[in-house]
Amino acid sequence: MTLLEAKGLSIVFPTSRGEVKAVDQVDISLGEREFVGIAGESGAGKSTLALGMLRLLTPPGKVVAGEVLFHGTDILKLTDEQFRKDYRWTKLAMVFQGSMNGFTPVFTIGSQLKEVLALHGREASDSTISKLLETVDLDNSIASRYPHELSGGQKQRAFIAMALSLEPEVLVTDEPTTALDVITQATIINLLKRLRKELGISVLLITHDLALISEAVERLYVMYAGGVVEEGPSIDFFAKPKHPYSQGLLTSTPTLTSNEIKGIPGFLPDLANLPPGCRFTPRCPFAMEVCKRDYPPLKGVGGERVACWLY
Amino acid sequence: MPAGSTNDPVLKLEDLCVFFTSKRFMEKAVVVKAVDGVSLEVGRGEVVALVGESGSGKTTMGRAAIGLTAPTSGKVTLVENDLEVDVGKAKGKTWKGLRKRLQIIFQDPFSSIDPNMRVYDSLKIPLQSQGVKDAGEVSRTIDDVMRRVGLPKELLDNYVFQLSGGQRQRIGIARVLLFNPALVVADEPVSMLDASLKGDIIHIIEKEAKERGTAFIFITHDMAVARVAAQRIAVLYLGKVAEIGPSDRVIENPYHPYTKALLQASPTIEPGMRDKTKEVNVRGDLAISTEHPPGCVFHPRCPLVMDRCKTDVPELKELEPGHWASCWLY
Repeated sequence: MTLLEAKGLSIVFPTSRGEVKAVDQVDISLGEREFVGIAGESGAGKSTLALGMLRLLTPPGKVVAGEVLFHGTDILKLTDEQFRKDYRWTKLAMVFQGSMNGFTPVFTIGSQLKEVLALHGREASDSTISKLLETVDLDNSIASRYPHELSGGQKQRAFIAMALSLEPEVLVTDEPTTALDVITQATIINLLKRLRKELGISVLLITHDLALISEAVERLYVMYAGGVVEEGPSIDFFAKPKHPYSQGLLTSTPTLTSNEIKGIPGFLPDLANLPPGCRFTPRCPFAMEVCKRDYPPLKGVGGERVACWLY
Repeated sequence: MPAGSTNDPVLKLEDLCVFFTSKRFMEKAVVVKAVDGVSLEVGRGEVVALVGESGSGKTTMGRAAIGLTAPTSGKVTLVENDLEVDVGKAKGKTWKGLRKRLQIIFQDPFSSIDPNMRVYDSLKIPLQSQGVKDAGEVSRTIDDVMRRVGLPKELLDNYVFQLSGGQRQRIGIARVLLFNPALVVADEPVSMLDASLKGDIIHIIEKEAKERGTAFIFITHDMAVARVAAQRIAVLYLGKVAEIGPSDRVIENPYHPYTKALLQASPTIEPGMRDKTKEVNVRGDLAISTEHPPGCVFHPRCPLVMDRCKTDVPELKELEPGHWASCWLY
């Protein structure tokens, strides 16, 4: 069953050069207990999409179209107070790349975890804290430590504990491991996989790293220049990506088994001045006349949906 | 040949140590051993990758290699036309001359290049400061490096802030190539770039190494990138070389438990993994401590630790031609 869903969501940032369409009519859904990934490079709009879905956008960015449904309720229509009280952190929690730096340096980890619990009227005892830390594989002694005494991986795990403290249904993680070393990265991804199974939460993982996504998710979206270009089960996608951008992204991902690496020639288009047709046309090896003219809709191809005129 | 050596070396690090001392008021001075007895040679036209986690000393080693950080002990030598220059002790004119021969590409193209400068000026100023005054030669050199990094000449009139991250990193490389240096330290040159742009940057480095014989020390935390970019990989742990050898061999036949753990943890395209837990065969995190553990520095995290590891420091041993590891298992 669908838990969280964005329908036709568009987000723009007004600038002196015109409106930057960061997210353009995007549909995304996350089912109950599902692990879904959003892959894409900088400028794809994946972080903006997540911020928009969790009502965390800061002005001048604004949602100009679409709705975000959580259990069928459009959470964009709620008042700030309603959303803060009933949804933020209690139902929908988010962990960012830099979250680990979000701890106040002057209080212990334990007291910062307690504060969240107390503010929401939950029991904030030492035993709750130690249980929380245990969920993320951290030792009880961490509670009495200050943030600067922890390694990056420990801090990120402590932050995940904080995000889980109010037992949310959805955990959105935006590049949760990008600033961390590979070994720490592997333990965090293991942790997310385990939490989904044990706690029955749904996880949305946003990252630029296709390899990382391939090891974690059941289903993924690939975004390019503000739109979804391909969506499908991860098994089908990695067996044979359909969109030329997805194909390029996969061959650009360095792997341990290959000595070769290819890039995708060219650069991302100017988001304030998008070409009329498919946004990938200028970099696409298969570009046709129709691609320059019309924006391709998402179409069913195999078990996936792809936005490309080749299909 | 000793560990880490190569034919036709252009840069030699001999038993290099870089220690940092920090002294707080009323406290005993503490010494952090960032690089602790590393010997490595980089050959002409060779790309050597330094791989390790944050805190392994790879950046400090790169900086010491081009003279930006003075060695505490040991020696850094630039070898050119049978002339040897002691990089660590160079001063005055020798030092300024060395700047043309030894260059560095930084990780972050947003903070390492002045955004308010025109692209042309950001390339012209280094040339002029090294005494290239002739306008014709300046513009010829600039056109040449722009071509080599694959940027159109039209960008020269743009301001740096108008460029994307990938284009800025190319400008960073173009500046380095102005003097056809003997050796370039590339410090995580692709880790801030999108996947689709990484390949192109690696190819530029490959081409410069092959066609002009420029040597590169390629610093990265990513084993997969190291394999693609470099002929040899040196795996560093707490300032020491844990393993060094030809890239293919280090990846396909790793000896050191730390190299194995790094490889195991590296993500690969593997959708079948989603229902499994990835094996992580090391304990805890790398601790940047002032006091390294006795014996093998990796022993507190090693899954195969033996009694001997806790007391004796393992030396690098050659386990197959050119492939060395420092571990008591062998």
